[in-house]
Amino acid sequence: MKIFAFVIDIYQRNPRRFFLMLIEMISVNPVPLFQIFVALQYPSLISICLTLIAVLVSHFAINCVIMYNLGTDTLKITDGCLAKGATGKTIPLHSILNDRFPFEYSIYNDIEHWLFQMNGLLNKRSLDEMIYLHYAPGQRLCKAYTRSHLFSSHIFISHLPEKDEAIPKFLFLHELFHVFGYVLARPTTISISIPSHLTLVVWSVYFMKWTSAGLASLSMLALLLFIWNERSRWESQRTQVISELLADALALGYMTTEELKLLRSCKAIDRLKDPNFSKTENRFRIASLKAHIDVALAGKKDLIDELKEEEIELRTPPAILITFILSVFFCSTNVNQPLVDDLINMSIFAVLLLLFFLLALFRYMHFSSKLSHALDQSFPTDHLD
Amino acid sequence: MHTEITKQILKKYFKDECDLIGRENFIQLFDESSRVIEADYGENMPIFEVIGFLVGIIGFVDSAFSLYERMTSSTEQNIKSDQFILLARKQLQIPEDVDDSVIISILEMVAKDSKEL
Ligand SMILES: [Zn+2]
Repeated sequence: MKIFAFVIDIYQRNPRRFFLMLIEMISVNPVPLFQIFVALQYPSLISICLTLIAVLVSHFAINCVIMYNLGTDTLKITDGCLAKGATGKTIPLHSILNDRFPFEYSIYNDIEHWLFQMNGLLNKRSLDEMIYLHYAPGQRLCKAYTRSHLFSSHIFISHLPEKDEAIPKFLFLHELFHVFGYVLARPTTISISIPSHLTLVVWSVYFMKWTSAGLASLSMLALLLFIWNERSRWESQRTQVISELLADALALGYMTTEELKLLRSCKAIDRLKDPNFSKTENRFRIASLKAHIDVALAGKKDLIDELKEEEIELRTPPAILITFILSVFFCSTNVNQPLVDDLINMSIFAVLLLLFFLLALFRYMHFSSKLSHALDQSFPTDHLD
Repeated sequence: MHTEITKQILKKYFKDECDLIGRENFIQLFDESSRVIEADYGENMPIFEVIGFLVGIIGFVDSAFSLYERMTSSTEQNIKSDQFILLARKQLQIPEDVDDSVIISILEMVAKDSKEL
């Protein structure tokens, strides 16, 4: 029942967004749709069973990759940072915000509130569980190990901002507000689409009638899959710049006028270059930051507040999505009638993928317990107050 | 080590950078007991770039001091500031993104401090 409540919740928030999300979801995982088109041409019990298997196959394929990546990301924290000898303590975010910025303790509640606003029922965890902050004094560490917004991020820093340090405070809040970036940028989309699109290729090649019409529709589908994924890749790069601007703007919302003045007069902000960005992107980002500070200083903070109200979501243009779904349809009109043998073969395919998923899951669980053990050893939890 | 004069140089010419990284990071730049963890993977936060920049300046000041010492040990005469600056700009690796006038002022401070010792 929870899933229905979740779907209704999204629909009520914004019906247009709901439908766009729906066709995007279909284009991220088009295997079930392909098989539904096939089942409509050859209605039979086999077709219905195959549709169920199509759902399972693409589901397992996607989750194999997610689990595998999650395991690797977890291992990276243990091997890349903890094994190098970093030590310190893990401080819950509410404890830092409470201790360092007592008058703005609401920052914590605000972030949780907005996350709920944007994510709805999807967001069940507290901010303390979404971002783990590891304080490692004297080790010159400023690393963020960020993963999908559905999993926790780990931030390692060797410096906690003092109450009177305007610019370190700004930079600290900026990092926290990146949690919105994960929600908006949806970096997971591309890692989901690749395994499910590969599954679609396997599925459609398997059932294809090898006629010229079949070949033509298959090549059109392959071309569109390529365009779709290239576009997502390009898009996720572009969202990174926007997520920097958004994190800046949100952090500015918690600066006093005095602090804003200090930040505006600090020439060193020109040196805040992101190594992942091009020269132009970095310039654009710094210029926007300065412009936003000026807006806030002119007393128009509500302009910045609008930023977080707005739904800054970059999605695949509907034209690409619709062409893509049409090509899935054309491809499905050139398939052979599914037989019992096909049902058996595809069931074996599903079982194999399930086994791979279980392997990836055990791998993740192993690395995950290794990480939490290492964190307990090197970064025991401690409160500031 | 020339910690005091290096701190003076940073506070005089790179005050904004020092404010940006915060007091705790600033102290750690000079703390002998602090060890640098070179973590892999993940994203370096932008503040890391600025810390790296200041580390570069400290290295530059250090190498300027040792250049001056080498010059004094090879000649009996007093070294003129101009001579030192000319050689330093030729031999030392000049930090990027720093105004030429600031480089010259830093080298002058190094020469003046070395003479006083
Ligand atoms: Zn950022």
